[in-house]
Amino acid sequence: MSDQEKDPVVSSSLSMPLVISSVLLLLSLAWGLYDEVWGTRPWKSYQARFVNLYSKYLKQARPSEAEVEAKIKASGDYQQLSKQMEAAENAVKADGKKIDDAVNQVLVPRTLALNEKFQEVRGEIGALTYEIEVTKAESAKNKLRAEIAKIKQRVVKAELPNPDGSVTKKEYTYEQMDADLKAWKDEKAKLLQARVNLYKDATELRAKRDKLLSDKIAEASTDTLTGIENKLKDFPIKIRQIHVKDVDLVDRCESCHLGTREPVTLTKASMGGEAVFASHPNKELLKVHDPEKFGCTPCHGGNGVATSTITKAHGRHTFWLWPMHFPENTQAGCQQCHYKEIVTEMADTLNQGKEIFRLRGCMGCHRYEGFDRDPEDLATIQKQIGQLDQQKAEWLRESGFDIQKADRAKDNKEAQKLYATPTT
Amino acid sequence: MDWHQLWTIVSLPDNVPIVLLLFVVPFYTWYGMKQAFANDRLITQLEGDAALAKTHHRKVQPWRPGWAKEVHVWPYLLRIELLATIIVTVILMVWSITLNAPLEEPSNPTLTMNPSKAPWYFLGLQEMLVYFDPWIAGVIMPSLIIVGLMVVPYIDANPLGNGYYTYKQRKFAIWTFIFGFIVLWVSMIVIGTLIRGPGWMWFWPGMTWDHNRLIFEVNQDLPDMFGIKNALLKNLFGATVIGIYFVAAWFGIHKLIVSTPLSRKIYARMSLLQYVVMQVFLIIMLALPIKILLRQPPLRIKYIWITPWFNV
Repeated sequence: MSDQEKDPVVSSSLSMPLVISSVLLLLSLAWGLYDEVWGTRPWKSYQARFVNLYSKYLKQARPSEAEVEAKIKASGDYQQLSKQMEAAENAVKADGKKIDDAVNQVLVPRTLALNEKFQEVRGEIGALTYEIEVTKAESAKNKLRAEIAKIKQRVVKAELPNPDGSVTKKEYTYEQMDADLKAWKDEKAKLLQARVNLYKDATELRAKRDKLLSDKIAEASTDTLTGIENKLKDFPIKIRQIHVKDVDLVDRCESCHLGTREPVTLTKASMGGEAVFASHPNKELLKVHDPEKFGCTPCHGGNGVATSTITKAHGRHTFWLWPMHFPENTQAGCQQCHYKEIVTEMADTLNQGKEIFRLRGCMGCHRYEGFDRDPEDLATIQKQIGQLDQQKAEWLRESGFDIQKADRAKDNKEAQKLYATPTT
Repeated sequence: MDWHQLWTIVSLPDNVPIVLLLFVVPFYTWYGMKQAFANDRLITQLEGDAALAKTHHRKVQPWRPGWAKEVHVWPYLLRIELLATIIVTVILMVWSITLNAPLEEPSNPTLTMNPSKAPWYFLGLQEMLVYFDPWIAGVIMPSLIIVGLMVVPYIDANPLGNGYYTYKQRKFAIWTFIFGFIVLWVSMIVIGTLIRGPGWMWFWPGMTWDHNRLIFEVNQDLPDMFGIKNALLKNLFGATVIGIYFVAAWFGIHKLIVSTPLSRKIYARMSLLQYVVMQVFLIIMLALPIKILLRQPPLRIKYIWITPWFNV
């Protein structure tokens, strides 16, 4: 080795540090990508787990559901209703068929056949009517009107189908076609109404029988279950958010809490011990506070936009001012709006608290909204302020008109008068 | 000693760069100076031995005759720079993944946070507000810092010390840098970040940031110390004091500039314009720590020169 090669600047190799730092760079890149795709998006794994657990649960639940359904169908009540319904249906079957035939074999095919011819002529007339509207010269307009009259008199040959397959040939003018079509339409409506009346008893009985079934099955019927299974097969992994535009509310809670509004009631136990996937415990409450309109956080608190960690999403973060209520305090959420009520429905804990507050005399010293008259006084004053503001705006508007008038006044004297004495 | 308080301040994502700065700036200053002194020794050696100076390599690395005196930028420099780039990228990647942006709660116009701090790189300026009129600390000084940095290459008449570390040949520039960057800029940032607590009061590291803390400090203006009441007289008195400072500082700095044979040589190379510009910037720079000291006990001087438009 020559001296030249021994020069550390020239001969020393940087391969090792380069390899190590490159590997570290790749690792940090991989970490960055993981963080971007999964790390800061934990809801993705929640959704995958949800699909898995839910499908398993459905498979398990289905046989028992089917069993219950079969049992109800075999019961006396159900059978009796079924029989009654069938009897009612059979009684009117012959009349019903007559109506069906008249509608389906005569009226509908005829209307369709004639409508085609009618539309052709109507189209031609429509185009000419447009021409009349855009033409300026009266003579040209008259010419077009004459043409329309001529078209209306034109005879059209229509082939109207009969129930037996033969065809009736008939000649029509425009007006005749219009009249016939209207008449058939009226007749069809009349017949269909007659059919509804005829089957009234049978329909009512069928509804009664189906209600018997749906009432007795606590969970969704087997049909609904099949629907859910199909949905789960093609379950998109995506952010699920409620956006209430009016108040700019964005809640992405259901990106993880996927079972909240499922038709099947899911419990922690049925979802493999994961409470996150449980259904909302009070479906009645959701009926009066539709999540599509109310979102989640207005009642529960928390940061509805955050999805990166549980701590952030639940608002249990130093810098989030509205943390989620702890389970024992959930009904504190009700109080935010229902503070004026003495008793709030479906909020037992809250009611108990209010009762204590009232009965123990806390309100004597601790003033609280709903327990004193301040808000009402404030509301009255606010109303007065509103009225005065409105009056002020009106006066300003009117004096504005006066000033404008004065600006345009003929002579100085009039202008001065207007400037000096506005209407008000 | 409130360790929890200390940890809260130090671990704040916003303050991590400052904690890093506390170690990195001294380390690299030391490292650069070490290299500079090694070079200085070589310079002395080569200056004393004319024959060696003709053949020897002019760098501190071990060198033997026969080795190249110069090597190419590519690959010998660039490969090291590539390595540095990769390492810094790795650090930044890991940093950005692990420490999130220090966002806090939504702002509340009725409740200002206390202490209310600027981003860390502006905390030096914010700290200056303690000692100066906002007009001086917030407008004049920042502008002068920027203009002063722009002016540096145009007033530097020293042809030596380019492309290698040296202390001997650039004493003046190095001390100006240490004074301006480390003393005036970095330390002010460190004070603003780690020391200033609620009410912008001085809290030593480890002291609890007590929001109820009260301190009693009475400031006075310099003319008041002399019992001057009249506004015009105050103005004239302050202007005179500042004028005296300018003249004194001018002479003092001039003494420094012509103190060594090398600096006299550099001075001789400077044009009048270069010299005046340099003097003005140095005088203003020097005024900053002087004003900071005047603000401390026992004098506690708030302003020296009071005018209707600005105060100094």
